[in-house]
Amino acid sequence: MTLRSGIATYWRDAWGAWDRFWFTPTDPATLSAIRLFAGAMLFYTHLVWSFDLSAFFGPNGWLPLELYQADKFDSQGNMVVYHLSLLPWIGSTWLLWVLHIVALVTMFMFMIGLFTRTTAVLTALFAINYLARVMPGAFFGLDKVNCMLALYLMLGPCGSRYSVDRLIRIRRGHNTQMEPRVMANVAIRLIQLHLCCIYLYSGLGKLEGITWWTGEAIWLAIANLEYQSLDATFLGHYPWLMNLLAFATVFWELFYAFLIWPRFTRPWMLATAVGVHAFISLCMGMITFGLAMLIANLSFVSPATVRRVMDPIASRVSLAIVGEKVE
Amino acid sequence: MSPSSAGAPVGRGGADVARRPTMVIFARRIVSHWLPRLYTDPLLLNVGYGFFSPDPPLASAVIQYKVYGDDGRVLAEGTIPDAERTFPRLRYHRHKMLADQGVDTMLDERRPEYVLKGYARHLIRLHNGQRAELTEVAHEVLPLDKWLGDPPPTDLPEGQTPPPRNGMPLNDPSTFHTVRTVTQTRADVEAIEAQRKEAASTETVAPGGPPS
Repeated sequence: MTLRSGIATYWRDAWGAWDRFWFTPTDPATLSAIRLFAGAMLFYTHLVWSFDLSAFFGPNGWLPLELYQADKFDSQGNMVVYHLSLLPWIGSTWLLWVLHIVALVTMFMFMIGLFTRTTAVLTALFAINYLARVMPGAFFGLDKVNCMLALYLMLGPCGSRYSVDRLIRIRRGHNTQMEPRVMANVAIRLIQLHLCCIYLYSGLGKLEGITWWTGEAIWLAIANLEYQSLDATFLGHYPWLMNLLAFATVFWELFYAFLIWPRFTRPWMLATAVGVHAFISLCMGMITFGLAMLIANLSFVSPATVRRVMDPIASRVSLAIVGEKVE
Repeated sequence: MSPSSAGAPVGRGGADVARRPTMVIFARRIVSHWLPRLYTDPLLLNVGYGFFSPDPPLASAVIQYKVYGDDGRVLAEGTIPDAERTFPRLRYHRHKMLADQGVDTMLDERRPEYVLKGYARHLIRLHNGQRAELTEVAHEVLPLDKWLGDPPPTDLPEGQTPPPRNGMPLNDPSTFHTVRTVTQTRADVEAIEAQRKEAASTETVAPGGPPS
């Protein structure tokens, strides 16, 4: 092999690997399961806004229009943050409620997979609109993950399985065989890469601090009464354990982006994700955030595994609704 | 607090364990340029993923409020956030984020007071009051050694039980510190509404930035 042909082979292989990574058709089972769970989380998140809709989104609420303008425009009136939201321009309460009910209905339809291609796009637009209005102010990690998932779900065939759309197709006698789809893979890859970025940046950010090096960070997290939902301060009697947890957290976040890809290390990374997010959910009261992160982690579970768990349930639902079991 | 190589403070004292490399500053300039932000801002792709970075908060903000009526009696009082009265937990977290805004000086040093005044005006409207008084309190996380208390003496005679450790509770009064108090009246509410009407009549976008 000459040097020239060696280089050519290298680039051909590299291009082939890139092509396989992004464009290998895949079963949309994982993407559809993410739609079901992320749709439920989006619906719940926005349903909870109903308690304080005018207070958060009205012009005279906690985050008045003046504050929104102060954050988005400079002293000359030029837009400095390119957030797009219709909500600041809705003055009347009834119109705000009409829009909110439309958003909730859309998100519910997205969750159950009804007219999914349309409701996926609308759900992403609604989620962005809501978040841009309360940012900064009342948003946190949950909203970031919600928006990320909604954005990528709308790119792929996320309603192919576990959806009302599929039941409608069965009822109409259409072919119910699911062919692997390129866009299912593209959407899953985007979620995977974005998740890797989330953990990597979070890990790198912690390196800039002090308490993640000294091990105090875990104490600061569990002894903060405004976060605490389950008392885990007994860990204070075991400083070595808190140090270990702090170092393990940073190590896991830093190396997630690398160790999640090999199939031998992937289960360990996912198991740690379950442990970390369960700890955050139970001890720090951020159940929704913890679940949203785990839904994003589902992108690393193979369609075959998802089908082993989800298909029996889906079959029972389809039997009850359309009188036919569907694999 | 020691300065980093970029001149920005790092951490809360101690050694400068993480120096920000020049490349990060360069990358930050690129992503904050208006051109990539035309894509990342509207799709909320540049929201940052710190998640307790660089350090978990050393204190939490709690806002105590009182709304007074015409005759000076208290129409409403409470705290933000209030874990006992705010359900479900997600709603509590929204209120917690509101309280944290009161201590966020990253965008502008004047911002916390400006934000709190907005909360006060909202409470006046909500309870149809004449005056609202908000006190922002920082609840510091009790250091581990204070929670544990003094270690038991090592020179106890054999067989004698060591005394219980005298650790402090996490909500010890000494962990609460008043940061600032703001007051707004019905006249302030009306002044803001008049400003808004004026801006609407001239069909201009109200200029940003907290007022002096």
